[in-house]
Amino acid sequence: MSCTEEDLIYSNWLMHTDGIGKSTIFQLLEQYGSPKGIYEIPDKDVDLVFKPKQAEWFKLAKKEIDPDICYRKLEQKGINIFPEMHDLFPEKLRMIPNRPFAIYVLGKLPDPDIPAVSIIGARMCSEYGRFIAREFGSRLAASGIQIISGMASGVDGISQRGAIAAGGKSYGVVGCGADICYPAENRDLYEDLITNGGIISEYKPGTEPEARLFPLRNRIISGLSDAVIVVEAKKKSGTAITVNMALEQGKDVFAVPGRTTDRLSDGCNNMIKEGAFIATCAEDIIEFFGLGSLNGTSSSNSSNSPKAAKPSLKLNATETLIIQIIDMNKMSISEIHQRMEESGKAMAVPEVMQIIIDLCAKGVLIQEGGFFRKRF
Amino acid sequence: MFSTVISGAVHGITPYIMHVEVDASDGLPSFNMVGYLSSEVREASDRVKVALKNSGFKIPAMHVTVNLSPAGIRKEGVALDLPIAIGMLASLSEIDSDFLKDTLFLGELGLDGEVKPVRGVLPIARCAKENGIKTLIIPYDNAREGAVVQGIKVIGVKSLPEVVAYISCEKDKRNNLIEPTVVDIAKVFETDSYSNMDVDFADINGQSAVKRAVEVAAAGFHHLLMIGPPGSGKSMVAKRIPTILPTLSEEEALEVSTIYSVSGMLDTNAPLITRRPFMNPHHSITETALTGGGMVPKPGVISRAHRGVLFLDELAEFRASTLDILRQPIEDKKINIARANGTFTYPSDFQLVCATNPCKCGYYPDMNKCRCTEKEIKRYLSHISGPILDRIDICVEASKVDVSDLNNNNSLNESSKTIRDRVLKARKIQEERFKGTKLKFNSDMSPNDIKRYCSLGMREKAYIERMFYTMDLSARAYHRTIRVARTIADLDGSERIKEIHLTEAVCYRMTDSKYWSKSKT
Repeated sequence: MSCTEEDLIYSNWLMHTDGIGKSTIFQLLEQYGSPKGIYEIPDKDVDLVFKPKQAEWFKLAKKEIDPDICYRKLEQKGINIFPEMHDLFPEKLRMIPNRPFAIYVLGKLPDPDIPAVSIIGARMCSEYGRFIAREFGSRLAASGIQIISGMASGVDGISQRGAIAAGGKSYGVVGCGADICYPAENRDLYEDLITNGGIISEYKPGTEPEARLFPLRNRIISGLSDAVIVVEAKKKSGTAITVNMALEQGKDVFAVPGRTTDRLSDGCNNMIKEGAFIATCAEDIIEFFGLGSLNGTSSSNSSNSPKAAKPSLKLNATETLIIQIIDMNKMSISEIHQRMEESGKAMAVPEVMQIIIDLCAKGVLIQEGGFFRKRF
Repeated sequence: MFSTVISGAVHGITPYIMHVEVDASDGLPSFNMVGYLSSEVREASDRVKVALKNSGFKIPAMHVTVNLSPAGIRKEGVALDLPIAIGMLASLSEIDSDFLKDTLFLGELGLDGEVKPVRGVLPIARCAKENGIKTLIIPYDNAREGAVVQGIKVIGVKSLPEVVAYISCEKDKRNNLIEPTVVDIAKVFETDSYSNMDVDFADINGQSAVKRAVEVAAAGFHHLLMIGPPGSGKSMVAKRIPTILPTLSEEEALEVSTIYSVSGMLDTNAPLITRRPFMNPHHSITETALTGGGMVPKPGVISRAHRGVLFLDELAEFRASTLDILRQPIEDKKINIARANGTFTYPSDFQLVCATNPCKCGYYPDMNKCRCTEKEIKRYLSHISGPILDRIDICVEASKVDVSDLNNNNSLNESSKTIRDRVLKARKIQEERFKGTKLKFNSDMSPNDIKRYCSLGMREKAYIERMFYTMDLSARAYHRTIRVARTIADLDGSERIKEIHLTEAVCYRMTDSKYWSKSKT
């Protein structure tokens, strides 16, 4: 099936008619052959073809939205529409249940010949999640794998930032119009994704982010990927929805294990229990795709250890103790001071502060408000 | 016949001397009261007439006019019953008018002639002394309050007949009839100090950084914000702050007691407030309750916290408009309230101590417990308005407490006294530094004063600049950091502000860079 500009124009118009969803469009396509055919349904037939409400919407859209102008606007924004009859419409998306009729893309579509994985997880993730997301994102991207995710705050965005920082390609599937940056604080990532990948949406441009749209876009995230990697997730979460959809679509699911006491790792550990692959390092995935690692880095588990990533600094005994005390989560000075006391190394509060600030200056610790965390 | 009785009243918290003029003359029998009266003063006519009758005085049918002078100020309260009754008796020649010349009367009357306690005795007594009045005849329950003012004779009376008996008595036998009330102020200060405080910093296990921050705040009179999960002891710490503050000076004690006297909140047995007040209003408090309200406004919570601690627990739950009200009082150390009958100024020089949870559920950043989304966390603290935060010098995180820590022996914890001694020492240094200036504490220093009193060495200057750069702190925080560093150096007994002092001061500023600005990965 080839796709003409006319198809694009009228597909875009169809996407802009409120109240007429993809299932209706697919049905009508069988009957009328092309999007233009649907547009040109004679007035007398409209009431027969559509349900009463839809007929009203249809008439309204026909009156108010000019397909050509609507398409010009799209071009002005630099957004491309790929209806399902388009040659470039991702083959993988054709296969999924409840497939979209068309997708909008700002930037590029993922290369169908290169493996793509999605890295997903909690928005409110721990330091561990942050580290894993960044590691996986950058390492996988460095070995040429495309990273697909939801551009959300937390794991999603961090993995994509990591991928782009490593010079790879990453694609963000959003639950709003492709021309809208959500969440707003990920503006820089949004811009980066447009040049080093793409922003993909099944909603018409200008669609405001709405809670109900996000679970739906998850099927596109998993649909575009060959495998899904879950970094950190609570037992009940949006991530679980994506994983269910991935399984429904027959994709491979990897979970990064965590400590059993961390609620944020419950989801992952549970998936492993239920048969998901374990991913303890990026190389597990790279090998899964038979790519072999670039730069000749060894594929050992130790590659995730913080020390390997950073040349070790010379720290004295007290400094080492503080580093040991600060766990996965952030800690306040009070807490650090208390733990030091418990481990038999009592110090005055100002002195502890001095050391901590010093460690921050050395780049070993990162300060976040009144809290401190390790730089992995 | 015409007679004048001296009485007094407070307008806002400002006392003034009032003259109750009574004239009884022949004519149509009537009882008129004039002089800008509120209804409770107007009602005095009935109480006085019945009280006089029930005390055994016969009131002939005469034309009685009572004028309360100065007539231009609105009169409120019930303290004028007794002076009006005395004025009546004097104008009926039942008592000696000579006695009235240098005596001030105050008191509410019951219908049976009983004299009941009233508000505002302390400020009126001070005003009386300044005006050369020698004797106060006031309700028995207020006698100790009046006697706090030294050098004036205070007679506490229980009933109207007692007053008449006292006046009619021969001059040298009067003291035998009713003994003047005397309060030894030095003794009050001695017995009322810290000895019977029921809380102590030794009760608190852990939270060392919070305790340290509180000490610094107390030493330099810095406003303080504690952020921490539920049950981390924020309120416990706040309640103990008064135990490490110096006692009120005599002048301060009189100031504070005056406010409480006007509010009718003084304890009969402890007429002088010697401890620093601690006010912790609930977060549902209205703006008027905070600032003071009424036709003639009664002092609000912030004025009752004068020279003490105003503790706002659950800061983020306070209405933003309520918190914004605090801006002027914090800046000016007083609050101006405008009403139809004048503008009232109440002092409000308090140390602001706030506590809040880091998020709605309270457990952030503990990911195992916190159920909030990132948005909710941001929204929670953004309730607190920037201008209030700008006035808070010290922010500190309280950490979560394990139950096992609570059972630890707390004999090793520092007592309030140990901490207080250090605070006193630091305050002494500030006193000397600011001698002859308007400043009292390090927290009062303006940027210009900081230049003068907090010169940094080359090394320290470079250090703080580097810190601000690496810690990504706003330039606005700079002066506050230096102020706090000055206090820390004072606590340390150091003339120079050293690096370690700056580091600590910076640690108290870092909280706002996290909560109140955007943070990314």
